[in-house]
Amino acid sequence: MIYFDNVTKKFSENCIALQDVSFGISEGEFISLVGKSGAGKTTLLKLLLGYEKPTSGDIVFEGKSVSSMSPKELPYHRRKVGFVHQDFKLLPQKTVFENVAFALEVFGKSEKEIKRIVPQALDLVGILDKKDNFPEELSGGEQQRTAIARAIVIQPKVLVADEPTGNLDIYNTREIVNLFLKINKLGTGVILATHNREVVNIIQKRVIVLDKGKIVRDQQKGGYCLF
Amino acid sequence: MKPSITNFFRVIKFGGQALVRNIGISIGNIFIMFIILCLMGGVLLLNSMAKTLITSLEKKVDVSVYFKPDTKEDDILKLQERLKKFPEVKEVEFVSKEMALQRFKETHKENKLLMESLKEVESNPLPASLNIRADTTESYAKLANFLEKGEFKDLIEKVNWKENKTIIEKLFSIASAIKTGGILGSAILVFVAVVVTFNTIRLAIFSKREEIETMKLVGATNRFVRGPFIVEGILIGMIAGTLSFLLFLLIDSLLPQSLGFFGELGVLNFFENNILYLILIQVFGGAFLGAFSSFLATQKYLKV
Repeated sequence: MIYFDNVTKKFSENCIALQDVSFGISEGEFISLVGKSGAGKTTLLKLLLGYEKPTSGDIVFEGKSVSSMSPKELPYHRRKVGFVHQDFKLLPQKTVFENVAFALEVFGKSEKEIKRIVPQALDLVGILDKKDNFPEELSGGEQQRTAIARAIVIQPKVLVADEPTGNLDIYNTREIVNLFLKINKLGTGVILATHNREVVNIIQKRVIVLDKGKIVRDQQKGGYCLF
Repeated sequence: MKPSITNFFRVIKFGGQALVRNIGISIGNIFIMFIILCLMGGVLLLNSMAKTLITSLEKKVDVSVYFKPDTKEDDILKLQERLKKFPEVKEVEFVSKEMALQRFKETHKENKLLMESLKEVESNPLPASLNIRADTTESYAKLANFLEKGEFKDLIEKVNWKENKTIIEKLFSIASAIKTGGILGSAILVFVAVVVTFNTIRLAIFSKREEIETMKLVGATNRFVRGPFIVEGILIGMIAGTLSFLLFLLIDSLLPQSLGFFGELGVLNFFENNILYLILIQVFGGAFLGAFSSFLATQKYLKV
């Protein structure tokens, strides 16, 4: 489904974020992308979402080259990829329901469909009772659940998470990771970038380790190990 | 309903929601735009007053032709008709000897010495005259030349062009300066208004740059992201414009009918004659200004 083909990303001669990275992701696969800070995890995810273009190589998503997509095509590509960020990135002036609904409104879904689908997504992540609250009224874990609900409500092919538990305590971390596993079981692929040992060890699925922009390990069922 | 139509109404709804949910910032932006639009309305009023003043000044400027005592009235009237044929001439007023005397008595009725002296003089000492109004200084010079050197020169005692030339030139120069100043002042104010409004809205949008990034992350198109900001800008502009217009209406209703000097400058007439223009400039101009500023201000943050 997704293929990174010899991807190199240089920001300058002294700053090579990724170097000759090649790997493939099958439909429904769960990948933990592991590495120290500055290893290139976020850059890799940005390339997949089209926020950066590779210096060389290509990223292919469902047979289409992401790097050759025009600015007009990118929004439609991003609608196939659910994104969850460490900082939650919720819209502060919208309620939980409205934040999740926004992802469907972007598609032009009708109010009737939105009223049917959004509660299902909120229920899946366990935050239905907070649907009328604003983000500032929620805990970190609740905000992240809202972000996850927004990411999955569009039924993406793959869910991409960049350090989703970075701002959460250990209890919320476990709950969020279990949520990702639950979503994966339902058929959605997950790429989870983290440097949290605990997260990787809970997941126990394919692990790709990045170090200084290169893949140093790609293990089908791995625990946390940087080398 | 088609998704594009559904989203069109959604964009309007989001714009309204943003205005209400950020009420503090919205009030601040409305207030700033209100001040700007009041200033622009004030400039319109000043321009109108200046125009009235200039017209009033120009009416007071004229050249007088005084005739010899034995000049026949028919000849004077012939000259009057001849002068009216000049394209530069706006008006030619015939003042007979009797009318001149009447006006003199009216003007100097408080001066007892003059009135007594007039009684001592048996006949009317004042000559008949023609008061000529033209459009430019050059026109007066042309007319004076015609009068002093043309076919009617023998009838004429004096043309007071040379005495009044400096004053007339100065008055036209002032009028021209006021006109130019008015245009320049308006242009500068419009520029300042656009810059201030743009920066106000840009600051508000700057504070929302992360939200814009999030919306793009979720897959929103530029139009869907930008639309609510433009709607918000339009609403802010229209509310500020309406408040400004209501303020001018209030001033108009509170103005006394007799305004003395300001009445002469046509302040009341301004409101009555320009009500539609005020609505257009303030309400719709405000809306356009708000929309345009929002469009420009979001441009930077949409390149994600």
